[in-house]
Amino acid sequence: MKSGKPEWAVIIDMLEKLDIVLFNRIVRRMIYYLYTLNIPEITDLLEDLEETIIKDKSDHVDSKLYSNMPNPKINRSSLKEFSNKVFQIAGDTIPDDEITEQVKTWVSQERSRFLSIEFENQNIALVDSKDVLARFLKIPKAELEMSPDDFINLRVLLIRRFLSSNLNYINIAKHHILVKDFFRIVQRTIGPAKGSGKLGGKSGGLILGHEILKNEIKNDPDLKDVDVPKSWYITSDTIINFIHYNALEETTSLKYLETAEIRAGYPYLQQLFKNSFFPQEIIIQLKNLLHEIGEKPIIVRSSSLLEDSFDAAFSGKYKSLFLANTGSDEKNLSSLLDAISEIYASIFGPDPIEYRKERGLIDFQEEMGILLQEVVGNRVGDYFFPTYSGVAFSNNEFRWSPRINREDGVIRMVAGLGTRAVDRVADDYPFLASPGKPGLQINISYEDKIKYSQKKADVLNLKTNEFETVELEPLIKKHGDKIKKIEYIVSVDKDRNLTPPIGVMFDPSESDIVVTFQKLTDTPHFLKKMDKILKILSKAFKSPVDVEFACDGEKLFILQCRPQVRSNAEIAEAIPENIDDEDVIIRADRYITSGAIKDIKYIVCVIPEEYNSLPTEEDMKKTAHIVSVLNKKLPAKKFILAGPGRWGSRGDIKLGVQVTYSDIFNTSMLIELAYEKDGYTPELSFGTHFFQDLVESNIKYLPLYPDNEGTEFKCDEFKKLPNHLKDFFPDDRSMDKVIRVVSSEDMKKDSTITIIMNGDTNKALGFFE
Amino acid sequence: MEDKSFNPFKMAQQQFDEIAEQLGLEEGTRDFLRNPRREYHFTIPVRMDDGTTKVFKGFRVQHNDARGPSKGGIRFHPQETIDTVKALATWMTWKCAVVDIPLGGGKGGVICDPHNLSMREQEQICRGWVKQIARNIGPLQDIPAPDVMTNAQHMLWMMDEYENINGGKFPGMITGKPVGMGGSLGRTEATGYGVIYTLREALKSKNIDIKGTTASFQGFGNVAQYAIELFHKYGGKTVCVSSWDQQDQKSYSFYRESGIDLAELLDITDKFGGINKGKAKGLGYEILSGDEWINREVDILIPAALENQINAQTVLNISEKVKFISEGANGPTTPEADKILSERGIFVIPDFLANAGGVTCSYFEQIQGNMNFFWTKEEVIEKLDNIMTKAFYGVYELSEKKGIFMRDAAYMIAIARVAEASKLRGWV
Repeated sequence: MKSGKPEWAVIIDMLEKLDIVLFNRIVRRMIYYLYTLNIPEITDLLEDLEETIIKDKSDHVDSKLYSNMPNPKINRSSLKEFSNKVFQIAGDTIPDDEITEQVKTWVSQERSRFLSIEFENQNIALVDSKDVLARFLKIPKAELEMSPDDFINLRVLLIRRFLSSNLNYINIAKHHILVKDFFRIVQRTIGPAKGSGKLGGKSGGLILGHEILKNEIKNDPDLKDVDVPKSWYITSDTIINFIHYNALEETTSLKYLETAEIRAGYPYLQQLFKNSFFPQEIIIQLKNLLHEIGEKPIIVRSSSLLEDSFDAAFSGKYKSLFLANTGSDEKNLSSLLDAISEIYASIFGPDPIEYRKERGLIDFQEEMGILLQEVVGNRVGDYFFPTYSGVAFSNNEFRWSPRINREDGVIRMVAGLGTRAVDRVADDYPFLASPGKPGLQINISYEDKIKYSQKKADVLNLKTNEFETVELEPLIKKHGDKIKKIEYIVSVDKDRNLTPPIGVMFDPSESDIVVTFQKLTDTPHFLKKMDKILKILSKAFKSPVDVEFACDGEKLFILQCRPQVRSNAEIAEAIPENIDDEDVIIRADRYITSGAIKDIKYIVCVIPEEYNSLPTEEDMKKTAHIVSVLNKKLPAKKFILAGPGRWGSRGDIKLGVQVTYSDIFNTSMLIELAYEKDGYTPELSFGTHFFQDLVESNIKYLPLYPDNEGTEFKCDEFKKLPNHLKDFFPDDRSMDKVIRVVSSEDMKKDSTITIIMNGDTNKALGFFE
Repeated sequence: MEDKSFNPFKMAQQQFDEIAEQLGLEEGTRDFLRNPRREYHFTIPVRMDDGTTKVFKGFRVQHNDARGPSKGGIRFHPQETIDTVKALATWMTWKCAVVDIPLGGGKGGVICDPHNLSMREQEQICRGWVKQIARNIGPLQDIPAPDVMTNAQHMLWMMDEYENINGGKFPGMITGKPVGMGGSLGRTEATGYGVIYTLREALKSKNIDIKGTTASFQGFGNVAQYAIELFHKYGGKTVCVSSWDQQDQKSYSFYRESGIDLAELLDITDKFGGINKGKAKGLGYEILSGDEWINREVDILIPAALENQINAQTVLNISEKVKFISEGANGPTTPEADKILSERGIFVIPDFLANAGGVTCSYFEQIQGNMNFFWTKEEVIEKLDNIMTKAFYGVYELSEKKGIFMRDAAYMIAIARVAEASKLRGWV
């Protein structure tokens, strides 16, 4: 053993003389260290200090530490004495080697402190932050050696600087995004070198989602082919520079105009933006980026500060634009600039502004980041598209069976680009599946499987540089063998049987093809994978999530990830509590999916006991016919249909009114009534006979079990009200008892009916307003 | 109190009673034929995907097998009632008898909603159904087929289970199998062709040359498409077809006086018989409203889409020129319209004769299965022609001899055949 001072004491002495700041930090760390080791002397020492202060203070007022008076300050020499005592205790209670080891670690941790210091300045310029991060990463094991508190603090600083100031976001992201990840991110970030903009919501969501999944991907063989497409980010302040550069400052106050004025002026504004110029530094960066991407198509997506925020529902309001990127360098650059300026202009578009006004977000200084991604897919003929893509939700708001729980999730997917799956499409049907209940299909019969199959696909035409919607059948017939893993998404229709094609035996040009996703969903792998992804992300996000994905036939790419809030209509609105009982007409608490319908003027109710006792099949068919006529005569989307059992039932007319979708398409809601009969409550259809039509045309569905406690349907009161059926069928009064057309006006003057359904609380309420 | 609500089985019995009265069947025979011979009810426990066990109700009704093994579909239906199944089994007996194939009538199913079941669970239900009823069905007793919400896959699971139980191969125990797994060729064409075979004979019997006749079709699905193909082959001309437009959610009639070109129309038609309006217009078709098909100046109307299309109102729009109606759809004509058609002397080939090509082809599938052999499409079609032609004359001759409407004659001959077989066996 060496004589004299132990090594740690030498270091401490030296620090005290050379670097008092570092010395103070080491003292602080030693106090915590001793404290965590439960050394009684340190507790005593701290208590002594507290007492000194209180004593000092109580000389003046009768008070305790932490009261509203400022605490007195002890003098510098007492502080020095205190520090010496700390090391004295350490020397007495801990082996010298251990102290030396700790002090060395703490000193070396301080090597990376500069990074936190730099980022304490949240306005640190992009170019500087790139340098600082690079310097940090050059320090060996810098991130590993950091103390946990510094480590978290640093990450929070970085998240706040680049990604989001939203506390909910930070709270999650700080556990998943490492410093080295930020280094990678800034390498792919474009923006004014001296600027301090963020990447925006969409980029933030995707980065966080990817980091969360990354660890799982490493450990779980089911997820081994999950990835994120190559992405680049343009900072949100680039738009500010762009606006100044082109002297477009007056546009920022446009948002306070009336929506009609905004709408009228928008086409011109958009053109103005598209004809403006980008600062040279941005152009240079974008040129480099295009060089790096090469000939692959890209998608330019909005990533504004308001978008995908953890609190406000703001999504899908801005544009995403596809670029084929196959022209000359000059042409590609000009298309890219054009796309970016168009997305910039969309901040001032009438719909986003209107939406912000509704939600009280109008005064927020919106900035637009841009997320640039390589489009996932393959070249097939002149086209470029992924084999399949879509969007997955943790909460299933489209349940087609009572066995599907809300938490089982739902996937909407299509062959080709996912644009058709994300939005409702009037003339086509995306495929729906529930990853938590993979076996339950919506379409059972051969006819339905074909009817509700996807007929068109969105693709990029590389020749014309356009985004196109094409007929799927000719595309597959011509190029089917070049679409990777096509056998997973189509079935061959032969003699009224649908079977997935088998390898080399498959000749698309000679086969009748239907998009069924049969093999993809029959083999449990895909749905299990999606289920895992949704569960992992929603657990980490502490919220249901919404994930966009695409598959090129080899890898499954996550394109976007955010808390699940889809559109205005599907936000779970709170059930109002102040409604008088007499104003309530419907109350339900089973199988509720979120949604709201308002401004309803009529209820068309097929009275269950009357329908069930109709003497002939003709009478029952007549009921369907009358409903069909009412569908055309009543004001569209201002009425709801309620009736016994299963609407659209096939095979047995007694089970419910035998309508098809064309007989009901104007209704805003379909209610199925399950009255108990002989001690048995019939199963409802959940609208399965035209489920996908209901989904695509946003007709709400509500199952009602009036015999259950907590359920109410004021059918008896409807019977007392005037029946407006006679207004539509003045000459034929034979069905007056069976079908009642009730007007909200007759129930309460000048009123309309509102029905709020909240899937979160599994409750629905219908009432007058 | 008597329940006056609609009951399909009671309706089937009433229909039978009327014909039995006209036939003068004695009381015992009536009692025998107005009820099913056998009714099996059983439970099918299924271990669900989540590990719980759910018990499903299964059943099979064999209405009558005096003329041969029972034949009829298996339905998966969430609220199936035994009255519906009994009614459908009864109608199957008459349908097989009218085309004079040696089969009786049956029907069965399971109370379940396939929308709420995974494929594995559905397979367990199919296998469970067969386990319970294996002794009472089979190629020599009762041959099931697909029906509401069941398809070829369900049939194959059932066949496989049946074969496991009986230790052998019995492809003739069930029909509706895919071609290559014991299904018959010609199934797609059978119904449409059958409509035209009976029409051809009807024209012939009235001394009208089919060549040069004109027709208007309602619907452009599978049945209509093959019917038109054969009708044109015989020299007929179709001037109008109506078809459902998925996008507009309504139907349109496509009219061209010079006649439609089937191949040309098929080129612009989707899988559901929806014709592209714009392209049709370009090809010189007039696009009329969906109900205009019925008031065309043609010799023949062929409703091949939906029920109740010729009713008290629409029947008034039928042109003076129309002399024949062949019912390709099920129940296209209401009783009120029937009366008017009969008064106007329009020759109607009733649905369960005209569209019996389908069940006849199922019968062929069963025969080929029993022989463990398969026929070419030409053989199937030729045999189909023979059976349909013979069936037509059976009904036609009775109708002429007794001066009764074709629809009544068809029921009469069917019921008489079953009654006679039951008598010959000494059952009644």
